[in-house]
Amino acid sequence: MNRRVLALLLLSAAAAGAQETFVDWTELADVLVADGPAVVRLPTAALILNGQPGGAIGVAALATPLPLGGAKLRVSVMVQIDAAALAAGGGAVGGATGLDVYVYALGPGDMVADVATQSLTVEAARRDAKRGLKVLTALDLAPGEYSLRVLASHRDSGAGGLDVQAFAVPALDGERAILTPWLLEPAELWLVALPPGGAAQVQIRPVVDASGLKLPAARPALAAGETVAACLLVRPGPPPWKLRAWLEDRAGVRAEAPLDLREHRLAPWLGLEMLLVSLRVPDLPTGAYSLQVSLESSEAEALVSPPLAVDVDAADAAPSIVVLPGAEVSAYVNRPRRRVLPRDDLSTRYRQALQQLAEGDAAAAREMLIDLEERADRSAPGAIFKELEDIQWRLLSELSERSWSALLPVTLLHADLTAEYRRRGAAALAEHSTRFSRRLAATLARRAGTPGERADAARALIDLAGRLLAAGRSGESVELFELALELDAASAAALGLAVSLERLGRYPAAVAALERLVEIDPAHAEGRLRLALNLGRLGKTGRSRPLLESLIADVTPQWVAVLAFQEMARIAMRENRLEAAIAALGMALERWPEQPGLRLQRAYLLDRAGRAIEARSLVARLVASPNGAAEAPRERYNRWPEGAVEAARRELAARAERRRAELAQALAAGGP
Amino acid sequence: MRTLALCLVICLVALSASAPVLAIEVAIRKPAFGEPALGVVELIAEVSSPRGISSVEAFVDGRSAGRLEAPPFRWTLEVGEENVQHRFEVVAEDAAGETARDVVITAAIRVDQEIDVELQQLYVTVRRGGAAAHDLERGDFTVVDDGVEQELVTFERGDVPLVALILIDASDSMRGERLALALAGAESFVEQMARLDQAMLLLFADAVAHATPFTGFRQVLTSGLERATAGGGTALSDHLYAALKLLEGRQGRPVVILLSDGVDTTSVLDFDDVEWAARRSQALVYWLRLRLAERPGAFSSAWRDGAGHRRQLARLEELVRRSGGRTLKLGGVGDATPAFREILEELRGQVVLGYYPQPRRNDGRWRRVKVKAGPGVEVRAREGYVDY
Repeated sequence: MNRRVLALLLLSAAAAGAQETFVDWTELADVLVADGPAVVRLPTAALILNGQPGGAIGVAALATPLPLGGAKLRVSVMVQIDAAALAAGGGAVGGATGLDVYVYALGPGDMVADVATQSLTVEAARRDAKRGLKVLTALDLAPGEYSLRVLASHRDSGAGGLDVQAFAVPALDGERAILTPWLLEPAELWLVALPPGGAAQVQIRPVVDASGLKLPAARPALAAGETVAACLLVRPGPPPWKLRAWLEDRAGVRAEAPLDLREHRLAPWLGLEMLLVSLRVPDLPTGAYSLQVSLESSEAEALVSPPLAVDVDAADAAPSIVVLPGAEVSAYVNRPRRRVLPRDDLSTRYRQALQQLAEGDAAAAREMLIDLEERADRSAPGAIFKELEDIQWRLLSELSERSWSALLPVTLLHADLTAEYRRRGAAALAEHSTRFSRRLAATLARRAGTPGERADAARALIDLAGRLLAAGRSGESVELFELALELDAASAAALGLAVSLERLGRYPAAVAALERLVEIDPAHAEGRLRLALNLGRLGKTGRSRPLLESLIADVTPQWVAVLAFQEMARIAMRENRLEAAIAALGMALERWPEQPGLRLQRAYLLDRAGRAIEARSLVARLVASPNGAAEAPRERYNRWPEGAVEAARRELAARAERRRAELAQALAAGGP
Repeated sequence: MRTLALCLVICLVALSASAPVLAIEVAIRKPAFGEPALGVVELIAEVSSPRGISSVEAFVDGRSAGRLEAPPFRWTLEVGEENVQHRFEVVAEDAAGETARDVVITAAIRVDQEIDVELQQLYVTVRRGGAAAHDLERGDFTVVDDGVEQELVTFERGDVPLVALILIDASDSMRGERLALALAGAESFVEQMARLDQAMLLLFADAVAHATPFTGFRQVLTSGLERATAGGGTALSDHLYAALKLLEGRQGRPVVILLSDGVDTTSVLDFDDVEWAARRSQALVYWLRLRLAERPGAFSSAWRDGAGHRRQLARLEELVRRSGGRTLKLGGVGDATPAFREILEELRGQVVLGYYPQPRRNDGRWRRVKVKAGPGVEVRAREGYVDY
């Protein structure tokens, strides 16, 4: 696949998912705009040019060069100052801190290549409500090597802090590139200061991921063993390629940081793409490290990102502030961590959770499993989670050898955890649950022998597919509904399959699924309606019309009949039979005079027929009697068939309950 | 003696001047004399009498509009949409049976502000160097209609009254604070409307969730909004069509302001149908485009696949542009208030050009219109109209 095709595919995937990659700074709750540029005085300049890093105010900077299409690149610089350090430096006047920020890039021979300054006034209340301040600014630099020097100083007390780092601006003109990794932290923790010229000049923007708005951390402090979210700005080149990350200590010793690619999106800067990844911090002693990521391809030489300075804290209690020599910077994550989980415990604990399930205490089983998986997710080294998955799978394979039915309650248990993990914001664990329950359902399907087992396996697949469809993952639900339909000709599977296909715009396939449904259950009103509408979409009105007429004539749910009338009118209008269309809606309105959709469609048809005043009067009457409370028939059609899926789930739960004894026997047969 | 008599006369005159007023008095404070009254109108009267008020009755065009016995003496009245003068009369009676009355006659809007069926009006936004250009005169404009340069017969600035339909998406994606912020934006627009401007506020989801009448009376426009809630699907095409239809034939400069992410999940009308209506409407359409809500399946419905949704969003932007309005992309719904203000400011800075199209064909064809206003001036106006 060439690069252009890949880019188009990515573009369409990004748009289809409606996933915004970045948002404006205006989305953040707390943003302040700098008063103006700071005055550069001689002593300040001398300190910047000659000074040593450190000082009373802890300051850290993250520079990200972004291509703009010209000879120079726009280097967005984020200067991060911790709230406590900001307050400790003094200089508060009337509850506000005056702060000047200077960013210098020194090129060869220590010549100043570009300067950006900002003068800020931060109210104490706003400052103290946050973890600290992230000041955004930008430099314009040609590709080359620089020394980036960032000074923050209190306007009144003169106390300050300096950060000095070597920094390379890449040309970014090749087919492949990788920038300094961003480790992401929740945006709401920080007060953001934008330059006086507005957000446009800084180029970088907050990142959106599954759990909200994120900002990069300038000097992250990581806990050994935890999983962190990161964003990589890359030009990956032609696939296939893979990513590798590691932390390197000052002696040059490397430790692999296992990395999982979560999402691949387009970035808004020339040719850059964004990879959202999760990264497991290796089990390392406390200290300063540099994080690097490599982009490896079988076709070309590996590309290695510029390093990001990080601090790792291996202590058991998570500190909120990591003290660095000469400066204080904020911690990356301030959440309680758990002890590292011994590997030997994994199997025992999983078995105990299943034992609880077998004994009828599903709630306890669920809690034990969540605890186990969360611990494994946070434990070091990163491979332990994979190991847990393998242990879980091995045990379940053994159980299913002893009793096929034993898998039923376990499948339901894992499937239920997806929603719980989503509620807790644990995207990776939710994904694990989905993946694992899919695997279980597929195993159930493969090993099902008797008609009863096949029906149960189909129910498990329908349950899971319904959850995926509700989560907007129609592509995946199609596969599971198809499998369920192969196992058992249930109307729920056929309906679910058709709805998934409709959402994907695969109308001919949806028609086939609906024909199957009507074959299974000829009286299925919703199925007949969907079949008629999808035939209409394909221009097969000759087949669609009699179906609609039968729906109008039969006793069907109101929403079905209303939509049948509407579709009849649409067909008549397309055939230029306006008066027939108006008459059809007139008949419908006699039965349901308050249906707003019918009234609006009739108004439009009257308008098309040159009866503009009647149309206007109908619209005026429509808005005079708001009808927002009742569910509109078209909204009902839009809903996935949760009733059918819920029925399958209830039946599955009842049958799983009856299989608990078999699970208990299978567990006992395996020994402790 | 003559001096004493003179003093007595002066004292009597002074006493009579400072004696309390014993008469009952009535004054109509609103509407003002000569002001046009259309749609919903508020009538306010002040009544005083030293003996106490017994009753106050209001009349509109000779018909009683209600009687009140205690202040405040306010009536909210529907006087219809016809552009005619109205006679408002308030008659008060005090405890002694004394009566007093006040009458206000409102005027019809000047005929040259109406949309003449022959007269083609263009609402034109003109900017120079990124700012509104206020110094342009009639002679600076050239209008080419269907390839023929036209003679301008009317030229008005942005004070031609507005008739705005504020169309707010109140579907599921607007739940909670998002709807409240959107409504705050709409309220800010209403608060800054000029004396003769009118608006209607219409909240929609898959059906109308809340609607006011067209009025310039702010309290009518904003009352009941605190109870508005969001929920359900989005029938955007349906309600955009309804908005265009509701503006049809109204006095003033028609404007639709739509606040929505633009994703239509439940409309019965196709976008072709809305385009058909928009081409026949004089209305300027502004779209305050919200970023799509971050929720799974936000871009998918059983009525349209992802590609269909994307096509429709692009067509909506195009419809807005062709109408002479514009799309304002909002970073967040919190930006609605400044965006509404920006639109109002833009409308205030518009010029209204009128001409009798030559040659007139009345053949139902689309006539392309081009407006120019000299070098360096950026001009935005609707791209044409259906000649019928």
